[in-house]
Amino acid sequence: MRDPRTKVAQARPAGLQKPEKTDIFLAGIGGQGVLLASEIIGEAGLSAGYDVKKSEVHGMSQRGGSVTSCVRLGKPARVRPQASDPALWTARASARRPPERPGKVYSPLIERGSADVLISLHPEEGRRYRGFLRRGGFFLEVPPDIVKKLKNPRTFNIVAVGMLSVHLGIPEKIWMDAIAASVPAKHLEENKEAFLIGKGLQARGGGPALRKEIGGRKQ
Amino acid sequence: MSSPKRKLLSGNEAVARGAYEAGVLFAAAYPGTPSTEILEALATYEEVDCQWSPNEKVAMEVAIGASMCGARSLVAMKHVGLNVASDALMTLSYTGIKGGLVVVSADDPGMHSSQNEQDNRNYAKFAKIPMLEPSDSEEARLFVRRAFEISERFDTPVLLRVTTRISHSKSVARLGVRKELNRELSFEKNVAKYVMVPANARLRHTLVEKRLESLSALSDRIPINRIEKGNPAYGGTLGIITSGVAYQYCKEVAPGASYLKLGMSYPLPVRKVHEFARMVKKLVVVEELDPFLEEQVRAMGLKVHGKPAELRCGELNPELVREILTGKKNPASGGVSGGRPPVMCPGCGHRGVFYVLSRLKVPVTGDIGCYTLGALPPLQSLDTCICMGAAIGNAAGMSRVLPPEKRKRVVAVIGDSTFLHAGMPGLMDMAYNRTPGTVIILDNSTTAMTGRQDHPGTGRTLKGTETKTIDYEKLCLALGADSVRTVDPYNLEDVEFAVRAAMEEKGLSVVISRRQCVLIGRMRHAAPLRVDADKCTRCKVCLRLGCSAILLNEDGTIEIDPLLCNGCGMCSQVCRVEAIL
Repeated sequence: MRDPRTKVAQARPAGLQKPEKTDIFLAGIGGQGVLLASEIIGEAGLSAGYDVKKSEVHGMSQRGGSVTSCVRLGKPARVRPQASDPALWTARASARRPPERPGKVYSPLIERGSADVLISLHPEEGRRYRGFLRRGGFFLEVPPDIVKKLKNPRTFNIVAVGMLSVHLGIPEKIWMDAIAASVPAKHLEENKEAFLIGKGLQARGGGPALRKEIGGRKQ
Repeated sequence: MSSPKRKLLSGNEAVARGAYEAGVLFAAAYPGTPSTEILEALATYEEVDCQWSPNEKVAMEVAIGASMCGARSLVAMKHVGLNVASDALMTLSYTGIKGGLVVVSADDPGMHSSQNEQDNRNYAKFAKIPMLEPSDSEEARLFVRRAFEISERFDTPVLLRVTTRISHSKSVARLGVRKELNRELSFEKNVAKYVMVPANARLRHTLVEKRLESLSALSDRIPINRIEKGNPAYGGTLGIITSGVAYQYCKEVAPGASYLKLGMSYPLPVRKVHEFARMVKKLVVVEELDPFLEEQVRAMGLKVHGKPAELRCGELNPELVREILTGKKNPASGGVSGGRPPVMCPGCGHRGVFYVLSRLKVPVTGDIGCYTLGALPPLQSLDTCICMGAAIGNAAGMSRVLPPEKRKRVVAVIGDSTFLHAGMPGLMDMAYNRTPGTVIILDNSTTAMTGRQDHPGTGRTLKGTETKTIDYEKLCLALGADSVRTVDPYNLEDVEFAVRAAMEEKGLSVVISRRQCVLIGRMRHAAPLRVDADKCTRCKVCLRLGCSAILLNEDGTIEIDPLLCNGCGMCSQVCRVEAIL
């Protein structure tokens, strides 16, 4: 098996530029705003015309425990060929024939080894859930020291949204509208700023610490 | 672009939306994960009168009353809540309804935030009432509307069963308009229908059995029980019978298969199941938890494959469904290890009580709420957790059988909302039976665990209006407590003094630990504390509080995270060298 850590790629992976289906897995801890970040991603996806499903777990996780959220975006368009496993009725079928509703997202959960993007808001949690990333998937880690650049440290989660935005072909206005719809008006400016900081981190190509491409798991 | 009529809704929001559109006039609930947001969302619609009830049984009884007057009503609860309300439900099945009545049960397979993972589909069969199971938010919205129609057409309560992954997943739903029913609401005397004395109930029971037959026929013709025929060339010879979120997992994994998708999963559509079985070569049931559908399909004399017995535990996901369908495990290596356990918030008043209890080394019976976290290290001072209100009953039982010198040393710990939910009868039991013991009520003035909902002790209603507030001191005395002490849990010395004094008394003593939940208004108690490194002896006694703001560095020094610290000052009280200021 090859080293799961491949070189940092400067070019955007072609698969994420105009994806037909993008699975995004967010990992962090209670209080960081993982759910708000996934909320904004989902709203932006919906506005951009994707089918959206999003899952999360409330309750115990609100008390400083691990918090994860899956956001799945499906573009109602041409269906990308899926991995074919001859043992499966299933995948064999989908490889030859489009499912009845192209781009429709069914499961609210992402399978291990199949997330296109893993967003880590906390290094330990990012490592814990790395098995969800597909081979060649994108590992986006919000650098913890970015907090110093933020007017409000609680907008840390929005930095992640900004970082992700670079990899999805969704216009900035849609992102900004989604943020405006999800945060209180008095905090809007600092959230927008955090978004732009995140976007900047990625747009510049970033360093290895800011932007990594890690081979996911074999599907 | 999405039209404004399409919105990303959680399953819970969609249930509320569907109820609103169906012209619901009244709804009641007791908060419980994953059901809580249904009523919170419904309360935002002006046209709907909504309330928190002290427990699920009362919520259901109130909804029944509203239905008896012709109002469409909804009652929502988590799976274990339906146990509490089941007394009402079982007989409600006999009386039937007047205004449509939908009972929402939000189950928690995988126990993300519950004490068990019972499968409440069994309640539909048990109570002989129809059950609908949506598999995403849009279905949740439509199924609630349909449930009200079924309820009124068949004179029956309808169980709408959702699970965590439906309730807390968001998907795209359309927004319909509200159907205003404009009924004249009145109660019409009908002794044979509403007075369930044996003579009447016997007659009603025969009607229930007849109703079940008509519902079975409905199940065969209702469009939400649909056959999706796959192409035999692409895996369509595999037939999957499924419902709820499991349908989505199956579609993800086996898009080419044939499906019998059950929107109404009780009673089963017998003819459709047989028809489907004839269409396919292999018949598989994919369902979470109990083999509820599998057993019934088997009882129809059909050869059917279920899931391995070990998958009766826990929730399904696409990966496990793939395993059920193919018998192969996902080759993706590296499962998820551990997971960060939840902790009490910095500044949480419960910590003070549990710190004191951890030093007293007594058996502590616990209950359901944030304070159940007191069982975790380092506090480890909660020894039982069964169900809402159990702390007091469990303590009473222990006290009854333990040798006399140990009786007073049993302590029950229960939250304010839980005490009002089901703890009061326990306290009455202790008083009535003269069972000695100590009961600590942890009053944080909210239902914290589920996200801070109001209750009869908070002075506010679900609709945000001010109301009467329970006086716990008077209440406990009225229930028969011999003494009631009230302490501030931020003052550890006071707590220890009060608990020790209570345990030394002969009778039934109550200690009320009163400190508002720190998450209410996200208020900071005082400026964050810091550690004086020169004075700190690194004895680590402060770590015994289990506060996430107190950090142990790798070099053994202690640090306080100023962002997390709430300034409650408990750590400075336990520090022996006054190093925390």
